[in-house]
Amino acid sequence: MNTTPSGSGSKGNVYVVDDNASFLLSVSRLLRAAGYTVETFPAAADFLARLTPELRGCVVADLQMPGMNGLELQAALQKTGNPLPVIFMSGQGDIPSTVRAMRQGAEDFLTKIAPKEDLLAAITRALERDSTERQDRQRCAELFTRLDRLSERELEVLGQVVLGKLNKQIAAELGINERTVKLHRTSITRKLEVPSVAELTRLTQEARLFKNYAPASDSLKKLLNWPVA
Amino acid sequence: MALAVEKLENHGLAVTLLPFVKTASHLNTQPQRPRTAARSQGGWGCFWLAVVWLALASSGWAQEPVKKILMVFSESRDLPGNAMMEQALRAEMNKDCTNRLDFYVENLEFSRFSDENHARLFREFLQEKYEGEHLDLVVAFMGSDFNLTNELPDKVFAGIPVIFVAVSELDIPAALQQSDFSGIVQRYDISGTLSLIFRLQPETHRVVVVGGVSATDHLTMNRIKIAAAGMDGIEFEFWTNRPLGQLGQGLATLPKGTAILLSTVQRDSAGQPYFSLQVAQMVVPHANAPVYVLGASTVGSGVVGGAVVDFESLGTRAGQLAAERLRGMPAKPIPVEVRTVGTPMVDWRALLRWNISQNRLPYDTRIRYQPHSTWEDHKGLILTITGVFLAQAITIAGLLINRHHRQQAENRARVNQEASALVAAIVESSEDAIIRKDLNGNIITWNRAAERLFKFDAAEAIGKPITIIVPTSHIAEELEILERARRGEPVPNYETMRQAKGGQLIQVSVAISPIFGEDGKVIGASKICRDITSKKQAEMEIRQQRSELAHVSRVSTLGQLTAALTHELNQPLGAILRNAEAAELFLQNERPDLNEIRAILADIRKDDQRAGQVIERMRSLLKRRSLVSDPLDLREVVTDTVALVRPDLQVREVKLTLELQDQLPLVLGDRVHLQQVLLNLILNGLDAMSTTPAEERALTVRVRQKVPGWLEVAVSDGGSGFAPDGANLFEPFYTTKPGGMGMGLAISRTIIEAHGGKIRAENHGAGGGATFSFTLPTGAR
Repeated sequence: MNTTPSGSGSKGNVYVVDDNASFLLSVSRLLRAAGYTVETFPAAADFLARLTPELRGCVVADLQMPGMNGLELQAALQKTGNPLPVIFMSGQGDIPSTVRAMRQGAEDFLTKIAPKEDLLAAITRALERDSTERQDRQRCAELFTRLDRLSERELEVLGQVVLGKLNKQIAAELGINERTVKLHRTSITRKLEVPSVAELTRLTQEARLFKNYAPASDSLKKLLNWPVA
Repeated sequence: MALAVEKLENHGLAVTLLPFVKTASHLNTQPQRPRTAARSQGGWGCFWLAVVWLALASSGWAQEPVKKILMVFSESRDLPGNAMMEQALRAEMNKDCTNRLDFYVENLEFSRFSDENHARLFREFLQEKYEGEHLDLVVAFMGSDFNLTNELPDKVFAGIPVIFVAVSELDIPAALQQSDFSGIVQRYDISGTLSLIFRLQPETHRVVVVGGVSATDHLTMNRIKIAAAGMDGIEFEFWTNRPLGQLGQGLATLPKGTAILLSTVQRDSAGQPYFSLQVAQMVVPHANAPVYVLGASTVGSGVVGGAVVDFESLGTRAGQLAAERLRGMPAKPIPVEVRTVGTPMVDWRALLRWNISQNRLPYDTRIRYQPHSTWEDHKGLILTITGVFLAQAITIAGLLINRHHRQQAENRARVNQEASALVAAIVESSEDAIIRKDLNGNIITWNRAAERLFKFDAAEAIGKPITIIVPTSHIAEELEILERARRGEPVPNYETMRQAKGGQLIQVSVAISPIFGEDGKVIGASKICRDITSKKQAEMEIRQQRSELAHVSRVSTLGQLTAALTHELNQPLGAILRNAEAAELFLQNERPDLNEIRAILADIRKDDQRAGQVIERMRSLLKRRSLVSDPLDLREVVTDTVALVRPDLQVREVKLTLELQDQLPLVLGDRVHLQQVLLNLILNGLDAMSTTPAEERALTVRVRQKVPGWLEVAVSDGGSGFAPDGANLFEPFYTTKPGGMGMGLAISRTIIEAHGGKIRAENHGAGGGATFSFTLPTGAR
C-alpha cells in the first residue's frame, strides 16, 4: 500500500487496484500530478482490508487480476455500507464483462491506453457521484432514524394521513377510536419534529424516494411502499 | 538320498518306455521336488520344446548369430559313452537350434592325470584359451564324482550357463544346484538290471557281482547289496578284493545257474584304474556264465546286456536343455534332473550264445548286433509282389474316381438349377433397380425396385428401348455404355441422371456388367441402379456445414490471437502513456521535480522493452509453428481457401476470378499457414472494396510460375488501394481499418519469409485497386 499524503489542495481520494506494478505506479503518478490523493493496492483484498465506512473517493481497478478480479471487487463493495464508485480499466475489455460491470453500476469502463482526459473525466464524475450518493445516504439514514421513532400503530396512522384521509375515516379504517387517532397524530408530529401535515407528507414522500437503502422494520417498509415478505 | 533312490527303483522296473516322465513322477515322492516342477522337466519339457522348435523353424534361420559352445569332458571324449553322448547332443542341438553352432572340445582325462597340478594347468589353459572368446554355453560331461565342478575358471566362465551330464552314484554337490548350472545325473539302474537277469534266465539262482575299490565303486556295490538283500532265494557273491587280472580262474568255473553282474570297477584291489569297457573285456573271455552290465558302453564286448545307462538318450536330453538355454529360456526352478531308470539293452549274439529266447525280452528292449532281416534277404521278391498289388489298387482307384466325378457333375447341375431360382428371387426382391437389356438396348427384365424407381410397370417397360429412362441430355452416354457392353467391358459404379415416367429427373448410381452366353459371347447387359438423390442432398449439406465450421474456427482463432496480443501489449503501453502524461503535468509546475521525471523516463524505457518482448515472443511463436513442411500444390491451397470465403463473396457481392496456371511444380510449406496468408489477403481485398460500387467489385487470385524456381500468388482487388506510404503496410499494428489490429499483413510477412519467400504490395494507380502478392520457392530447386 502506497499512500500519498493528502495535500490541502487535493481534488479527492483515488484508490488504484492493479496487479501490474508498473501500471499501478504510472497511474498513481498521473493522478498525483493531476492533483488527487492516491492510494495504490496490488490486490483487491488489500483494498477491502483498508476500507472503512468513512472512506471517501473512488476506485480505479484493473478488470483482470489474479485472485479477486475487478468485477468481484465491485460486487464485494456493493455489500458494504460504503459502496465507492468503481472505474474499470482493462487490457482489452470484452463485451460480456463490460455489460456486467455497467449493470452493477460501474462509473466507467476504460482501456488502459485510453487518453488521460477520459480517465480524469471519469474520476471527476465518480468523485461527484460518491459525494452525492454519500449525501443521499446520510439524508436517508436521518429520515429513517426519525421514522423509526414511531410505533407500529403510529406508522399505520401516518400512512393514512399522507393519503389525505380525515381522522374519522382513519378511525374506521383501522378500527379504533377517533380520539385515539388524534392522540397518535400529535405524537407523530412531536416525534418527527414537523409542524404541519403538508410537511409530514413531504417527509414521507422523500423517504419513499430512497430505493437503494432498505428500511429495517416491516411496518416502515409498508409505509414506504417496499414489498414486505 | 541313496536309500530313497534305491527304494524307488523297485517300482520303476517295467516303465522304461517313457523314461523322462516316469523318472520325474517317481521323484515326486521326494519332499524337495514339487510335482509341477518335476513334470516340466519331463514330458511337458519335451512337448514345449517341440512347439518352440516348430515355431522357430518356420522363422528366419539366416539372421541368427553364431552360438559358441564349449564341450568339456572329464575323461577322454573317445570313450564309447562319451562319444555316444556327444554325437546325440550335437544331433539334438543342430535339430533344435536355429543358430549356426560352433563347438569347441576339451578333454581333461582325470583318470590318467589325476594330480592337482594337472587340474591347475587345465584351469589356466582354459582361461588363456577362452578369455575373450565370448562363449554362449558350456556342456560338461562329468565323471562319476562330478570332478569338473571346480575346474572351470570363474574368470572366464562366470555368467555362462553350464549344462552338465554325470553318471554318478554320489550326492549332487551344492555347487551344481546354483543358477547357472542345469543338467542330468544318471544313477545306475541296479534293480532294473537284476530284474532283466531273472527275466531272461529264470533258472538263475546265483549272482556274482564284480566290483572295485574306489569311492564310487563302493557306493555302487553298496546299492547292489541293498537290492540283493530284498531278493529271497538268490545267492549273491561280491567280488571286490581280487585284482581283475586274477579273476580268470574263478570266472571260468562258475556253477550252472550263475549270472555275472559287473558293478563299477574304477580301480581294482591292486590299485589299477580301469574304464568299464576294459573291465568287460577282461571278464567276458574267461566267464562260463552270462555277464550283465550297468552301462551301455560295454554292450558289444560279449556281455548279454542290462538295464543300462542309455548314453544316447542322455546326450539327447542334454542337447535339449542346451538348446533351451541358448534360446534364452531361463534355467529350470530345479536345475538337476535325476534319472534312476535305465534302458534294457542286449547283444543279439550273446542271447544266441547263452540260448536266451528273444520272447523273454521286455518289449522296449534295444537289441544290438542283430544280423539282416527278411527284408534285406528277400528284397526283390517283396518288391515284385508289392508292385502287382499296387497296379491293381491304382486301377480300382481310377474307376472309383471316375464314378465320383460323374456324381459330382450331376450334383452341380442340380445345384445350378436351384441357384438360378434363388438368383431370380434375389433380383426380384432387391432394393436396387436391376434391369437386363439386349445388345440393341431393349429391356428384357425389369424388377420390382425398377418399377418403384422409374414408375413404369414391368409390362410397360419390357420390350421397350432402355432410352425411355434416359434423359435426352444423357442419350450419348447411354450409347457409349451399350458400346462398352458389346465389347464385354463392365462399367463400374458411376453417378448420373435418369428419368422416371413423366420426365422427373432422378440422381442415380449405376453399374453395368455384360452378360455372356454359353458360348462366351456377349448377349446383353445388366444394369443396377440406385437412387442417390437424398444421399447427394445429405452430402451437400455436410460439405456446407464443414466449410462454415472451418470459417468459424478460423475466425475465432484469429480473434483469440488478437485478444491475447492486445491484452499483453496494452499493459506496457498503458503504463508508458500514463507516465508520459504524468511527466507532462509535472513539467507544468514552476519547479518540476526532476528526480521524479527521471524515474518516469526510466520506467517508460522499461515498459517499452516489455512491449518489444511481447511482439518478439509472438513472432517467434509464429516462426516455430511454421516448421511443418509438406509438398503442396499451391493451386489446391488457393481453391481450398477460396472455398472458405465463398459466403463472404456472396454477401459482399464480389465476383471472384481464379487464374491458375497448369502443370506447376510443388512447393514445400505449411498448408494451414499459407491458407492464413491467403485468407488475409483475400479478406483485405474484400474490405478494400466495401465502398466500391457492386458492379465493380472484382477479386482475382492468380497462381503462376514467375521465373523458374519461383511461384507467385497474387490477389488483386478493384478497391480503393492503399496510402502512398505503403512501406509500413507490413509493419505490426499498421492498419487503416476502423477496429483493425494491423496484425494481418505483419503475420503474413512472417509466414512467407519463414517459407523463404517474399511478400509485396502494389497500387494499381489510375484504375484503382491494389495487388498483394507473394512468391515461394518451388520444391524442386
